[in-house]
Amino acid sequence: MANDVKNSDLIELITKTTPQRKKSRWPAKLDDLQSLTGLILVIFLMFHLIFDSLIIFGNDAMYKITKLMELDFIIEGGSGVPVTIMGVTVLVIIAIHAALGIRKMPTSYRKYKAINTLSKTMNHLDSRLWILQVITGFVLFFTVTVHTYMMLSNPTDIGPYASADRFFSENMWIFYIVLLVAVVLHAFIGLYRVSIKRGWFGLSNTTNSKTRTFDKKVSVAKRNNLKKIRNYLIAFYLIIGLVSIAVYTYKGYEHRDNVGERYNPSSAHLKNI
Amino acid sequence: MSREITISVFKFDPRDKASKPEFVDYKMQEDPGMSLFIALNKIRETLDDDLSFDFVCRAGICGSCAMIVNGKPTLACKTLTSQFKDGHIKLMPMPSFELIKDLSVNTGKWMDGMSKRVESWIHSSKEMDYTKLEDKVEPDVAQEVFELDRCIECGICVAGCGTKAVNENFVGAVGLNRVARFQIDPNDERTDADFYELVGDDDGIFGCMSLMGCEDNCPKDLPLQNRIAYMRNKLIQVGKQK
Ligand code: HEM
Ligand code: SF4
Ligand code: FES
Repeated sequence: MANDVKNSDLIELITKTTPQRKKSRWPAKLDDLQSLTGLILVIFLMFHLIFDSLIIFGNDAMYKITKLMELDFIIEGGSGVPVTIMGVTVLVIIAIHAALGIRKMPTSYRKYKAINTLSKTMNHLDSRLWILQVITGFVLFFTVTVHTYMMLSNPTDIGPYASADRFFSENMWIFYIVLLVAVVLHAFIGLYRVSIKRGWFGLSNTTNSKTRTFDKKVSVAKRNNLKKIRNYLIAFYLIIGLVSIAVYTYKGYEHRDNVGERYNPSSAHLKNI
Repeated sequence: MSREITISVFKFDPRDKASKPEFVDYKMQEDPGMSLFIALNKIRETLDDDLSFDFVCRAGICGSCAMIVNGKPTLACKTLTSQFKDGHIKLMPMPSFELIKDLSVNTGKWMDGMSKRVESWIHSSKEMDYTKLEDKVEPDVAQEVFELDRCIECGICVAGCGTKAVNENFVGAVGLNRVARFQIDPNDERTDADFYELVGDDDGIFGCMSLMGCEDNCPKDLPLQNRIAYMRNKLIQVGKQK
C-alpha cells in the first residue's frame, strides 16, 4: 500500500459522498460547534470583564478575586496553575472557533465587494453588522492571541499593581482599548446572530396565539427585543471596560516609580481568607 | 399640484456588444396614486420605448416585478412613487439572477433549478386515488403549510441575501422555506435524513449566516427566520446520528 488513506476518504474525494452515497455529517457538526464555541466564549467574556472591572471598587476587590482565581484558599499564597489551565482551555476554544469562523469570511475581492455593496445599498443593519463581525473577528486573531499568550507566560502577574504597570509603564492601554472594542462588538453581535440562527430566546416560537400560525409580526417584535438587549450589553460592557482601562492606567501612572512591586492587601480580614 | 419626479433606471443589454451599463434619468409629472408600474409604463410610452421590465398581475401575487427600489428589493407594482418624499427613485434589477435586459431578470430559471434541487413536490409511496377524499390533516398543521405556501417566488429573499452574495450556490431562503413546507406536511413521507441529503451542507441550511435580508424584505411576510432556524436545528440533529 502506497499510503494509509481510508477508502471512505478516497471515495468522498471522488463522489463528495460517503460510501453509502450519503452526505457527510460533518457540516452539521461544524455548524453546531461554531455556535457552541461562540456561546461559551461570550459567557466567559461576560464574567471575565466583570471581574476585571472590580478594580473600579479598589485594589482590594481586584486582589481578592485574583487570589480566589489562584485558589489561595486551597494553595498557600495562590498558584498560577488555575490561570494557566483556564488560559489554555480558552485558547483552544478560540482556536476551534476561529478555524470555523474563517470558513465564512469573504475570501476574494468579488465576494467582499458583493456583500459590502449589497448591505450598504439596502442599508440593512443586520447585514452590515455581520461585516463588522468579520472585521472584528480578524482583529481578534491578533489581539486575543497576544493577550492570552501574555497571561499564560506570566500567570501570576495579575493583580492591582502588576496589571496597572502593564497598562501604563508597558504602554498596553492602547492595545487593551482595541481588544476591548473588538471583542465586545464581536461577542454580542455574535450572540444576537446565533440566537436568530438557532431560534434561542423565544425565536423558535413565533406562532400567533389567535391565528395559531406563524406570524412575522411576533418574530419581528421578539427580534427587536433582542436587538435592544444586544445594544444594552454592548453599551454596558464597553463602559465598564473603558472605565477599568482608565482606572488601571491611572493606577499604573501613580505606581510608575515602583514598577515590579507586588500588591499587599491593606485590610486584615483579607489575609485570613 | 403634482410634482416632478426623477426616476433613475439601470439600463443594459448584455447581449448587445455595444451596450454599456448605465443609469438613465427620466423626469416626469407624478400622477395621483402612481405606482412604479404606472410610472415605468409612462416612461416606455413617452420617453424610452426600449426600456425592459416585467409586470404581470400588478397586484403583488405573481412575483414577476421584483426589483431594487432605492436600495431595497421590493415588488414594484406594490410601490407608490409618493412613498419617496424627495421625488428621486433609483431602480435596479435584482442581483443574484441572470440579467435579461435593464430591469428584467430571469428568476423563473433560477426558481426552477431551486425546485428541482429541493425536490419541491410531495414524496409519497401511496397510490393516489382521485375518486376518494384525501387523508385528513390537522387544521393547525394545514394552516402552517398554507402559510409557507404563500411564497410567490419573487426572488426578493435571494436578492437581499448576504450569504447568496458571497456564495453563488446558496439555496436561498425561498429554498429552505420550501424544504420546511414539505417537512411539516404529513402527506410527505420524507424524513429529516432525506432532507439532509438535499440541503445538509454549506450551500444549504448550514450556509445561512442569519443576516435576515430575506425576512426583512419578503413582501409576503413569510416567517423565514423561524423556519430556517427550525430546519437548521432538525438537520443538526440528523448530523448527530450515524
Ligand atoms: C481569533 C478570534 C476570532 C475569530 C477569527 C472569530 C471569527 C468569527 C466569525 C468569522 C464569525 C462569523 C461566523 C458566521 O457567520 O457563521 C464568528 C461568530 C461568532 N463569534 Fe467569533 N471569532 C473570534 C473570537 C471570538 C471571541 C473571543 C468570541 C466571544 C467572546 C466570539 C464569539 C462569537 C459568536 C457568539 C459568534 C456567533 C456564532 C454563530 O453565528 O454560530 N468570537 N466569529
Ligand atoms: S420567501 Fe418571500 S421573498 Fe422569498 S421568494 Fe417567497 S415571497 Fe419572495
Ligand atoms: S406584477 Fe405581479 S407581483 Fe408585481
